[in-house]
Amino acid sequence: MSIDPAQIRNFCIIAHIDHGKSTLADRLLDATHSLTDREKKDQFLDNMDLERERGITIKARSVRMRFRAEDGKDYLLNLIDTPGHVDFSYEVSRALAACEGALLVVDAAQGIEAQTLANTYLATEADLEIIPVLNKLDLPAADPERVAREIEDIIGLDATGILHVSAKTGKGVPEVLQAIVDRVPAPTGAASSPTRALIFDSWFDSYVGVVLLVRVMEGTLGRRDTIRFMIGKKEREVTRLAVLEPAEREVQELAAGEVGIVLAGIKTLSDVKVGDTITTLANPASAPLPGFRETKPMVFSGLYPVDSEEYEDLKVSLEKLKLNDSSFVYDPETSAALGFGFRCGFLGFLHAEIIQERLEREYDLDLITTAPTVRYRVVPKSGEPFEIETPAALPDANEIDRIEEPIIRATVHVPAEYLGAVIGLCQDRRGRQVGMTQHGTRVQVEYDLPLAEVVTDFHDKIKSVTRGYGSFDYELRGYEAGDLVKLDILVNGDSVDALSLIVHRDHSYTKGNDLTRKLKEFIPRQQFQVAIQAAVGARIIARTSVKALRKNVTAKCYGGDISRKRKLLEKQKAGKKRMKRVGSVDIPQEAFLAALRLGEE
Amino acid sequence: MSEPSVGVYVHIPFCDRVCPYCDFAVVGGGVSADMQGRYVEALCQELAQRRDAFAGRRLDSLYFGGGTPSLLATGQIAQLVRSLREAFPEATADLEVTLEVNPSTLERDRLPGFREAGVNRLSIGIQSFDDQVLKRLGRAHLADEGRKTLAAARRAGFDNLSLDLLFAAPGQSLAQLEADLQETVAFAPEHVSTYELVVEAGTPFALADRRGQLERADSDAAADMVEAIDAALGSIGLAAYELTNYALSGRESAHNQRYWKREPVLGLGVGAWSSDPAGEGAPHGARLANTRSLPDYLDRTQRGDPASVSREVLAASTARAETVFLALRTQVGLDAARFARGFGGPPRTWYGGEIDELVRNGLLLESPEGDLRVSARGRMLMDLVCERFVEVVDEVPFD
Repeated sequence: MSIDPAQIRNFCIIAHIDHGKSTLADRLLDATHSLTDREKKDQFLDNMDLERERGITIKARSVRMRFRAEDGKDYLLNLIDTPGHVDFSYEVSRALAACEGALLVVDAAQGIEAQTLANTYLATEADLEIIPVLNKLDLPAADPERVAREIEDIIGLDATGILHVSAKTGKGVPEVLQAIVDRVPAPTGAASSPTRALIFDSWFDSYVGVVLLVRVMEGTLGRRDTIRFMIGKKEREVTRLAVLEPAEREVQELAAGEVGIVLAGIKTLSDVKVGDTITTLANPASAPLPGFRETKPMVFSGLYPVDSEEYEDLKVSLEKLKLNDSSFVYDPETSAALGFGFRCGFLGFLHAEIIQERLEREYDLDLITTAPTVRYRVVPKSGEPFEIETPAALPDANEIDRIEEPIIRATVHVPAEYLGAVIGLCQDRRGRQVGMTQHGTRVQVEYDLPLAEVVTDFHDKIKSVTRGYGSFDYELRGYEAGDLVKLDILVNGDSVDALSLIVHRDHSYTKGNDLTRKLKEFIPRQQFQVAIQAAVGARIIARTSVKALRKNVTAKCYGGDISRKRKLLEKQKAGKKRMKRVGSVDIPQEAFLAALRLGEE
Repeated sequence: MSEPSVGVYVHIPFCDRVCPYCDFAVVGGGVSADMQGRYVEALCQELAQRRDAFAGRRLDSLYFGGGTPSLLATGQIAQLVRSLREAFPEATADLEVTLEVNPSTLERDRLPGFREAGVNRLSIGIQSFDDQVLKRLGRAHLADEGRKTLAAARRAGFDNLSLDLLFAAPGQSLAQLEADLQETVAFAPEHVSTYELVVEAGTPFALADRRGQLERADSDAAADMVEAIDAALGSIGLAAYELTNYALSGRESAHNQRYWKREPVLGLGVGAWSSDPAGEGAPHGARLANTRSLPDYLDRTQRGDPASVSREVLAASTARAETVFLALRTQVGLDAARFARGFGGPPRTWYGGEIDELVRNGLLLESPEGDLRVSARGRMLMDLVCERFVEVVDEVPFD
């Protein structure tokens, strides 16, 4: 009993953080009676604590609703959620490819933000019908006319089709549902064609294994069908098909135009690639759907347990996280200074932040995180170019022809009064301005920036220099050669591997100075003078020293002092054991933490 | 010391007022004569309970510390000396009997009486000859009182005087310390004990320090002060026979040396510590700590219960570590042969690697016989040296 594709609408909601995407989704579910009260959580679509807290959706989910339209017919509306987060732009693009239309939700008080725009561009590229929705009309500060003009000016959408909604009160919500039916095209693929289903999301469930969320583009997918992953080149049998309403309901078949979940006995998430195409052996397609891309981590940092005894815990936690996030990678790494840990790769710096925070919060680990670095491409004087993920892997300077670094195109939306500050920040970060447009009181400015310059604190800096009014999005552009050098930190001549960095030559002096000075603050005086140096190659570019300790003895020692004195000595010795010894110098962990946090202040 | 001996420490917890850096077991404010009487009785009771643990030992030193033991009446000191001599009938000739004295009129008047009671050595809590420094320390006396007490002590016939000098006091300059040293040198005592101000947890100074209200000397300034002290006291023949103690040859404190040699000491009174000699179940001796509460002490002794609230049986490894770090504090250092007699092997049996590294780093000197002592630099970095000989045990909390 397949459903007439003319009665199906697949859509998503795109919005900037806090513009009310999740609230609107809830209201749509309410209006279509899709949730029982028991099932109602405040915001159904965001189901991880961290997502709720940060107001961002990390993993996409989907929900099917029934809606009786003005023509008296029942329609199936599939709301496909998209990760609202710049590091997942590829995943966003796959979710969009599963839709024919998108609700563009804009806060009627705030107006368009960078993220709105980035996702709108993606939606336009995916050829989606875009329905602009002004939300938060209930707010006193709402200025629908101004924001409607922005939508017309910036995005080029006809203002006459803009819907007005208050997701909070529910006003305007039925009109949104009707507009989806009226304006979003029905899916076009034929059920009789060879089967092609797009995997646009996947997750790990500890009971059933890997769950695939798919949109059948053409043909049909049935229970017990043997399916083939056209890019992953594996074959499996479908053990279960279901739709999410939002409660899971098993079905026997998913036909062209439908969205649902597929179980096929897959054990690990990394065996599945988002964007892959499923076909059936019974009715095989000749080519996969377009748009697949291999995702590659772009930002790397070392994660070390503060307490080396937590290494095993960290390992287990990483394994667990990896179950649900195949875009994140890790390998064991050993640092002379920090001991045993892991080199982790992330899609971007927000992704890195989220992973670290989940490790610390959900798994209760204390971590030392080395300064994030990016994937550099090294072109040696002889031999093939190669990519490196850690400064330690960089060969000697005299063997290198050039180092290339990833460049991003950053789009910043900002009220005009903060433009100067944003430009200053981008210039400082070796940015190259490529575009600027003014819309009323807001300015959109585009910069090409080295990814390495934004991985640490650029996002926070944008927020702080614009007092929270600026918004920022980015996409990867490619690689460019840069005047990059490896900066080493030496303590009494021994290199502290955990603090090595690849930096632009112009920044090496400042960075070297900052690092050596910070270390000096935290390295206690020892029996010898401790020289702290920053070096580029063999050249010392910054130096400072911790003077030798002249005196380390206090107090008398009589009677009961003896026990006390002994305990003090034991404690002092225990404290040293907790320090990391580099050469003959004891360095407290706080020194590493402070050095690694440099620039975050 | 082949012949078994004992030193006795008697703690008198009373003070007119409590100094803001003090963390001893003390009771401030006017203590009644009745209370003092009860306390002296309690001391005698405790002595009766404890003497057997030291039976047959020759009495080698007596030390009245505090608090302010000179707040006791001369008759009470005399009574205590008498009881102690009765408890340990065999005593070293010219038994050293020390009394701690603070500069005040009342105590000054009692000095001849104390001498009659058998006290032959005074340890005088001068601390400084600078009124500003004394006020900042919260001491009850001013410089002139100190001078008067010194003079009175000599007049009373005491020819073995020790001065307490405090340094690295809040806001104290090197020049101020040098002036103190000059006056000390002019007075020419037989012995000086120096005290670097230590901010002990739980004292008013600790609170002030946390609030950033205590102007503390940094370790470089303190190092300068130690050098100044060494030079000034050395100029009148006072040698640093221990890290913080200086004496004319032959005037070293018999009592304090017992601690550094790990020889038995019977501690009596509130908060007193004892080092009991080796015995059954404690082949390397035991360290006992008495209750720090005066009412509790009175109760316990009255009931005939032990005044001690803790007893640590010293493990061989602990005893070895203590032996080394205490000996290294002294000028003569560690006698390898004596160590071997106590523990069955010379220090290198356990500490070869540590000794090699410390010698290589110029902190420790080793004689051909294996005797150890610290170098001049090692003396200043004593804690770094001593740390190498203790064991890190799991019970030590790290904070």
